[in-house]
Amino acid sequence: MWGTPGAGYAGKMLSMAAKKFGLKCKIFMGAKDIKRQRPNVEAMRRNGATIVPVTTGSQTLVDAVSECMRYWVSNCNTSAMCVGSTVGPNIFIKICAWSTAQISRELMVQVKEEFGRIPKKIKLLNCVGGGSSAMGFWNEFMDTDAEFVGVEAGGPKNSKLHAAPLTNGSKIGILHGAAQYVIQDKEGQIGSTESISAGLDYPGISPLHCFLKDTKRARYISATDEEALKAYQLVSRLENISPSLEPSHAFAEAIKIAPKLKPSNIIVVNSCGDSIKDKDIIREKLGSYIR
Amino acid sequence: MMSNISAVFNRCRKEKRPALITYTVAGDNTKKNSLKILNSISKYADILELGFPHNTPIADGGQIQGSSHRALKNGIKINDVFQIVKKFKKINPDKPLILMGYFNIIYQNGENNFLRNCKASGVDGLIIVDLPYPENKNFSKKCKKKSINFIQLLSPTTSKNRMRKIIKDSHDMIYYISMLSTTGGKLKVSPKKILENYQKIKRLSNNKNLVIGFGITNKTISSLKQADGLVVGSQLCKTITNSIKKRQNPVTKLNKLVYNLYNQII
Repeated sequence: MWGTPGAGYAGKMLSMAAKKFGLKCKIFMGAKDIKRQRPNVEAMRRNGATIVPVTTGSQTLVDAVSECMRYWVSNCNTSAMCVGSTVGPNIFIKICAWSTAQISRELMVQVKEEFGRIPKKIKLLNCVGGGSSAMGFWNEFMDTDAEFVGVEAGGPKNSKLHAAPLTNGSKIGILHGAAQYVIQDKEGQIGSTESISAGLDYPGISPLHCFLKDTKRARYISATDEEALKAYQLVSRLENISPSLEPSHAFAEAIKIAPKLKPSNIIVVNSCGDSIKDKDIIREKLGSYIR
Repeated sequence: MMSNISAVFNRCRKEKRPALITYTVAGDNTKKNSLKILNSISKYADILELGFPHNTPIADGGQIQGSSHRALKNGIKINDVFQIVKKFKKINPDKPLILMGYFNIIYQNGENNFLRNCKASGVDGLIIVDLPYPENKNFSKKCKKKSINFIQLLSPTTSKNRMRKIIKDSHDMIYYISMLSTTGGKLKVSPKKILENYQKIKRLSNNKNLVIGFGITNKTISSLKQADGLVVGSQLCKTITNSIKKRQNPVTKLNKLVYNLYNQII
């Protein structure tokens, strides 16, 4: 079994599943991501997984996916590939989106318990990197009036590098076996990205989200590294949760729009990761880590 | 009219030997050198594959990744690739040249525009690694209209049923991937087993020109002589890498290697 996480969350889950069923597990991860997502890497190792550092290119998710695919074509007779996001060739997108859709089934139950029905004005906010957690968060609500807002990684403020192909007008290209909006140059070389959050640091985006954007079912915006950090701080201080830097992008948008909305408007943010995995980055950027 | 590619296979058949097919990357290690290399090795190579580099080459192992990286660092653009082909074909009009690469470069260039450029510069065929059957149906039809060979890929995991369909859609040459691997892998399947699979495809394809690639070097090439054609790529890229390291001339080093490969299959 092989997998490719950016933030390491999918890898952590995969290593647990492998342990449970007595399977060998190899996780491909960019060398840069191994460094910045140390807590998750340690968890994977404890579950008996082998971590394969990918040192080519930008040493992040995009290279890890490439390397995992290379390994897979060389060993596909004895192994299965798991892609930790809704990217890659058709079937992998379906497997991932189907699996994560459980989140929205649970959310549907909770929303009905809370409001008795699905409120007319409800916004579902989710960060979008490859797009797996957003797909999972929205899936069951596809045929309702719920508004979907995807928040991409805008990268450092004033930097030209970002990981927001849907927000920043990237063209359709082919990456990892699928057509999608992707950050690239005129020639078709894939562009490099930069984001404080490893899970969002990917030049492409799930074809499912491209479709939702084109059909205007969902809308996409981006939040900068700085906005995400601020949102992390505020939410961790005020709430009983402490979001990792990925969902902090979505919280940043919630914080931005909430003051302008009426009390009848409902916002639900998917806090799809815990800040503990980002404690090193947060400490480096903010001087201290609270949870 | 018979294509340059078919003519080469017919000639090699008469000489009772496989066609020698080489792969190098355009712009590796410089634009000038890659043209010099083509001109030089074409004395012994029957068909030349020229890679147009992509920075996310998912089918390639370390050697070709390295070559692509070098070429891109040197600033190679798709129009430079066509210039190299044009200059090569001016001197060697009958020598088949096949461009090989990833679909996004073609997609961004525009399919029709890309094919016009191919035609104008004298490209004989195309291998697009990440445009599989049946997604390649439209594009391969466009190629056929322009008399450019679209080369289909088969692998050890391609089912018989799927093979039949792919073969039906193929042009003058089919490429069999010897084993489950990226380019540049060590030959982990015995030549005997590879040739067994090879013969099965030959029977299915009614004797179409079928070449074998992946894992072939000067150490393994003679054991696969029965094939219609044999592709050597990563070893050429590796030779360029080594010659740069040792401050030797990559052109003469590659010429020697291809001469050596040729001598093992005649």
